[in-house]
Amino acid sequence: MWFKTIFRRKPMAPRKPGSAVTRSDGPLFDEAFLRRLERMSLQAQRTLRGNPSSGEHPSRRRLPTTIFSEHRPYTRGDDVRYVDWNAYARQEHVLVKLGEAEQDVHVHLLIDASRSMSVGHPLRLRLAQQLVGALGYLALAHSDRLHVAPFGPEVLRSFGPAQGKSRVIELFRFIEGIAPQPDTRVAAVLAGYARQHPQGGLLVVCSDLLAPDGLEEGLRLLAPPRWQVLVLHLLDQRDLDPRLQGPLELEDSETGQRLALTLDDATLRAYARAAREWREGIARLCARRGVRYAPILSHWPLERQVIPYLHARRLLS
Amino acid sequence: MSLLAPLGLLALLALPLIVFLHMLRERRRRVIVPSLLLWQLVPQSRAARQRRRLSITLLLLLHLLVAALLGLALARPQWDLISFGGQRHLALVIDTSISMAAPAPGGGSRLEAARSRAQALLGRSGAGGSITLITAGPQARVIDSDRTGSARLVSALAGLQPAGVGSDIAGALTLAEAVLQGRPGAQIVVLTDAALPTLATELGGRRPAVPIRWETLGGELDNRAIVAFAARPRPGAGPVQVYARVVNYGSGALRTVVRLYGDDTLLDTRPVTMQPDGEVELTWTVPRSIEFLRAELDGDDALPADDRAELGLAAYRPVRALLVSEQPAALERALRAVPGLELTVMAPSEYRGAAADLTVFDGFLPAAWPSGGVLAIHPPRDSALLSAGVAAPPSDEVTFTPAGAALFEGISLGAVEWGPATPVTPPAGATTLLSRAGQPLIVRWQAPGSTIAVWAFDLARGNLTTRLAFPLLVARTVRDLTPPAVPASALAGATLSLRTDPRATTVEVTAPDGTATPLAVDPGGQALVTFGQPGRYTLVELAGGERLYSGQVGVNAGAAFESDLRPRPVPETVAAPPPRGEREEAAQPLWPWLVALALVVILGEWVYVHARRLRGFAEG
Repeated sequence: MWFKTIFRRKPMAPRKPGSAVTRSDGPLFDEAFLRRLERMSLQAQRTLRGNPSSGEHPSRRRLPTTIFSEHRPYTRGDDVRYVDWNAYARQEHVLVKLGEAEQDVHVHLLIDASRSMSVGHPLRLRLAQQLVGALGYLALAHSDRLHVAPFGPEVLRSFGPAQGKSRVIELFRFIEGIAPQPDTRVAAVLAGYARQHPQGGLLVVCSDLLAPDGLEEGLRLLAPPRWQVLVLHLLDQRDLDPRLQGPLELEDSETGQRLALTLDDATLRAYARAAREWREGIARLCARRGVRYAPILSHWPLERQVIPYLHARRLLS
Repeated sequence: MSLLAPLGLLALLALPLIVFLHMLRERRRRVIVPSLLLWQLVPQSRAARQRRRLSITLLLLLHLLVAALLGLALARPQWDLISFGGQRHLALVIDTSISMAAPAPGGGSRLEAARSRAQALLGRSGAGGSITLITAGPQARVIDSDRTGSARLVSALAGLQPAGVGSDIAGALTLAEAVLQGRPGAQIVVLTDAALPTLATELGGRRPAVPIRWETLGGELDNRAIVAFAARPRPGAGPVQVYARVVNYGSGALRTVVRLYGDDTLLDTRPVTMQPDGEVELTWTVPRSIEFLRAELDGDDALPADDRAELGLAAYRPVRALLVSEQPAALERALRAVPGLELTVMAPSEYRGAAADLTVFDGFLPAAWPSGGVLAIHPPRDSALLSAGVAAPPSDEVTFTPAGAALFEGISLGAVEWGPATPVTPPAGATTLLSRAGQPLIVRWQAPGSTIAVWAFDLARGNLTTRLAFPLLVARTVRDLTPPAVPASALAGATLSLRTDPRATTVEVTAPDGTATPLAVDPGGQALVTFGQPGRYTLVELAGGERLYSGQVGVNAGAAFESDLRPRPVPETVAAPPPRGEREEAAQPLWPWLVALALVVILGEWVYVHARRLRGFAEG
């Protein structure tokens, strides 16, 4: 009888702030995946400022090297080992051989820990943790300087800067300890983060971008060439195609605000149109700001679909 | 269909509760979404914003059906099998008062309208039932009872006539309930013009045991009537004062005349003017020689019968008395003072058994009791007519028996010395009216053809004859031993218990229409005379072929409670619950079927819900 459903217990509320998502959901990765992942690297631009003492990313600068690229006149202090004696014999000018320089870069991984990331199935926060873990592992494995910063209404306690694979375990623990936050302010967080890290770097934002303040103000301060920004837009299939019907009272997971609606076909079509325009607007904004934009659905398997997708979008090489 | 427990219908209050629960169920389901950011961009149609609108679902209808069935079942409904062709027992109470002679709206009299309606009911009642015909005239009477459609009932119905003044509806209902007691499907139908000012009083608080349906015939009618007509004769041969009251039961003022006739001779014509619902009182003084009066109102109204009133003026019945005494002086004086008494005095030696209405023996008794009234005073001890008793010891203490209360009421006998009394043993059936020390002083009994009273004391040796009580006691004894005069008037339909001369064997009653009906007089000297028609009745008492007495009675139809033809409110049609036994026979309970149907619906709903759930699992 339906009577027993009248006083049925309501569905479980989203996780409260402060409770970790992933501790009871198993490890983020297995070792085999990490070994396969190690063969990849983050695609960083030459324009980024890095430290040539380590790292594997190509640098815009030229340094004296045995691998010839071009010459420049010898100046006092240059290492005589890089003097091109053959050129000196032909041209009677002492020239030094210059070659490609490699550098490490600052990799900033910003993970949205707002409560909206904890709604849906599978959880977007889980996928965000996996993505940040994978990208962070790549950064550490390739000697980049890694910063991991979860954020809600503001940037929380962050991880890094860290360099070297020895910090991987620490990284994973940090990521697993990220707890949902009550709400989110993407633009404010990005702007504040840009001011705190003037040296720039490769910035990856993992977020559902469901924030009232938009994205444009934050991206304005993350302009190239100092910054290379990747926006990984985590989407839930239910956000795009909500399988709801009838009279409903929708409650915002972050603000608690409620909206009474009777969902019929016309309303759902209008919602789908609004969601499409919202995504297209974000994509246009990113393109205008020189930001790479990659929408990712939360139910995509990480290794089989997300990583190849990022590889195809040249976010990974 | 009837409900045995109507309070069970309160269970139907569950219906709105179910609707409320469904509205609760239809309340918007709360869904937590990541953000309302996108939802707020959706243009919302009016229909989409509409809230708390109850949708009519199959489940709701089934629940309402189940609740309604169970609620009805709690009220314990039952089919009345009589409504489906069962036996119906009907009691038809027809008002036969004089007012039913007034015209009915459809033409004809109200009684004819009632007759037509009754005939229709006779033909409509179900087969196998019975109909009892009861008239509610001055006295309620069961006319006949037979099966439905009986020709005998139709014939009895056709013979109904207005029976007189007054309608004993309450008595008729009691008769009907008694007739219908224990019969299934019983019903009483009352056909009346409701011109009964005292109906509400008569039926007030009555709880009928049988359902009663009232059908009112006739409407508002104006009427004028002589509702009172009386005379007060003066002592001696003086004139007689006559009084009449005329009432206008109408909505308009009336100017008319009242004519007074004395022995069919016009004595006076009196113009009268009456306001609506007004009345006029009239008086006349007429000579004593007139024996019969008639007043006529020039009414020209709906009920002519009450426009006429008649009145007999014979206040006293003539008594021929014979006094047989050696010393008659005191008795003679007392007897001659009795109005209407014609006295003959003789000595015992002269007595040869002469016929008289009243014979008084003083100190003497004949060999046999004469016919008529007999008063034996101080009878001799050696008489063969009376057994001698035992002499009582001397005592002044007398005992009045309850039977003598009417004789001695208001008469002071405290200072009376009764003197010595003859010890008398009264015969069987005699009533002792006064005794002393267990010995009867005054005793009375009825013998064939005679009414006898014995005064056992000796008037000459006591002081009774010197007391004021003596002529009073003599006059009352004369009236006790002789019958009274017939009443001056009576209401139509009234039944008169006529006390006749002890010698009378037959009373011949001649109605106004000239029909003469002989009535036998019972051994107690009583005859019941019913005055069915308004007019002049003549009563003649006969002893064999001898005419003993003749009197005239004016029978009138006008009465304050009958002549007002305007209908009064009748009680609402009452559907009394039939007795338990009858209920069980005539009713088929419905509640088990309703409960069974509700269970079937619940089972169907359960199957429907679970089938849908299983289908959902299979698809999932």
